[in-house]
Amino acid sequence: MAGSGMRDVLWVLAAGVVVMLVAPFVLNYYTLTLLLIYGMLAMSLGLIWGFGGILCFGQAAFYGLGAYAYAISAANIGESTIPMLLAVALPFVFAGLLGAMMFYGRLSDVYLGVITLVVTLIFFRFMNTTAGPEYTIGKARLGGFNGIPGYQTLNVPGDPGAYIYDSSLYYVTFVILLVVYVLVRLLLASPFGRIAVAIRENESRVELMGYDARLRKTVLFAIGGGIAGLAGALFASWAEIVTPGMFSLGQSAEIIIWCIVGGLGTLVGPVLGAAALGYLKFALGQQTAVDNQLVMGAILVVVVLVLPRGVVPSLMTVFARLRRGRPARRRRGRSGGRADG
Amino acid sequence: MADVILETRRLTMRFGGVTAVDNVDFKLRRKELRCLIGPNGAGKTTFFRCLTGILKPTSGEVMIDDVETTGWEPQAVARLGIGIKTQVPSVMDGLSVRENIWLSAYRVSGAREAARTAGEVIERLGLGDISRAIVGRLAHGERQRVELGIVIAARPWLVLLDEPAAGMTGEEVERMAGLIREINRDAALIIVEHDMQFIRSIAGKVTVFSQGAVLMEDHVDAVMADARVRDVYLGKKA
Repeated sequence: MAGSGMRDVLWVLAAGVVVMLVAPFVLNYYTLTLLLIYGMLAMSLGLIWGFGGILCFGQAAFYGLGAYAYAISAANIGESTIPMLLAVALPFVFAGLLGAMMFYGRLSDVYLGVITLVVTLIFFRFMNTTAGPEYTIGKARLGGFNGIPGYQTLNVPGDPGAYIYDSSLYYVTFVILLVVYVLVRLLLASPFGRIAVAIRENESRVELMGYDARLRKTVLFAIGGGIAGLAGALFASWAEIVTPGMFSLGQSAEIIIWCIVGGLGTLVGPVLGAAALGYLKFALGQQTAVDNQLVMGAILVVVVLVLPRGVVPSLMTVFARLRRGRPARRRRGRSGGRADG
Repeated sequence: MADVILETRRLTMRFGGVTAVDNVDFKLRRKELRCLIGPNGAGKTTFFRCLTGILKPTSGEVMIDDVETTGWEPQAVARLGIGIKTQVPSVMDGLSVRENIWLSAYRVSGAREAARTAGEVIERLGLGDISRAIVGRLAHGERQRVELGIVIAARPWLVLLDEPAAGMTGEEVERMAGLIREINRDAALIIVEHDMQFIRSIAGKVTVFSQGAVLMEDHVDAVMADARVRDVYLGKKA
């Protein structure tokens, strides 16, 4: 079982490398890098929602927190290595504290959604009010709704003059995404990951077996926060400005839509969902005939109705059927469908 | 005293104005097999849930192996080495039979040992043919057996079963009775059950609940012959 799982990982890696090499012939580096960042952000929610059963409406909070942590520390330090680490560590710790409060408080799924949503809104509101000069951390002014521009972007560790941008930022981001993917896969194959999935399936049974579900959910939630923070830091380096818009409701909703469309219970699904919808949004943004939001909403509705488990799990079923050469038995949407509990 | 492994003292559980469990004193000895019976609403399951930590009793104490566990979290109670099976089969529906049982075995031993234990338990419960099947697709009786597998894979010394024979066919009930006798060789059991036929087949001592309190406690034959017990049962059924 573990063996076939690892073979799948190798296939995904091989496909990833092919895509990494071919994609620049189709799209420019600048757009591609953003799609990768979205992919990583979607993967962070795909992990905690699809495998941990934790529906977080505020994944954007950790994304924005990572971006701000990066921007503020990079502006002060003038080199990107420590800011990158901080951008992972701070959202990790923050998500851990928030998660501990929610899971040890035994909040139900609905309240969990509400709290994560509200936390995002608090960040959004607060960051918008920081326009005054009194909101300065070291050399970085928070800048309110204008955000923070002009900090050190990603550089080769130890050499602040060697910027990583454009094509090199694209390749670095792609490699980081693949590395994070492999690490998350290993995590899921470990006992910790298997127990996390068991908690998604039946939390009270896991507790009756003697596992502390609260602690495990908190750790998983923190890991998801850390990955979202990493995506935020890469975004900060890509956009060269961070604004409160990263904490917006729209951003949070989009991450959830990417996961639903791509398919829960997989990691590749959310990444592809994010890249596809991210590109679509970009393409639609260049015209004025149809409203962007309308199309996004329509896609979500169609996917939920036609492919309730998402695109990737549905495709996997089709492939499995083709490989066996006989009609696949109808799978109950357990792996994905159960996840939203 | 050391022989008593589970004891409750004046255990009481109220829900609003309803007293579901009323001042229950209860003792269980090492390797004892005890059945809890009583009509619907007598407080058996509530009592059971107070023992397992799923409910926090309003007052009174629960002592397990001379440790006071009143108000403990279920996972802490389970960690003492207690296997718990709830009324509705509580299994991980999206996972395979083997994974379900492995997860339980892993908690008490390492990954390598857990794989071996899972194999043994699957063999013992006759789940070999369906060990790779997703539990959510199995029949009710099979799911009950999977849950029992989860319980015994952790090698408990005390097993609490809430209606293990509910909804099973005659053949499955017989099989379950055999399994329970087998578990009883190494562990004490408390079984909440409705099915008198089933209780007769596993015999042992029976505690009768009525309106939240213990009505009587004796061997199954004596309990069945008792007029009060008949009244309680028939009175409720009519």
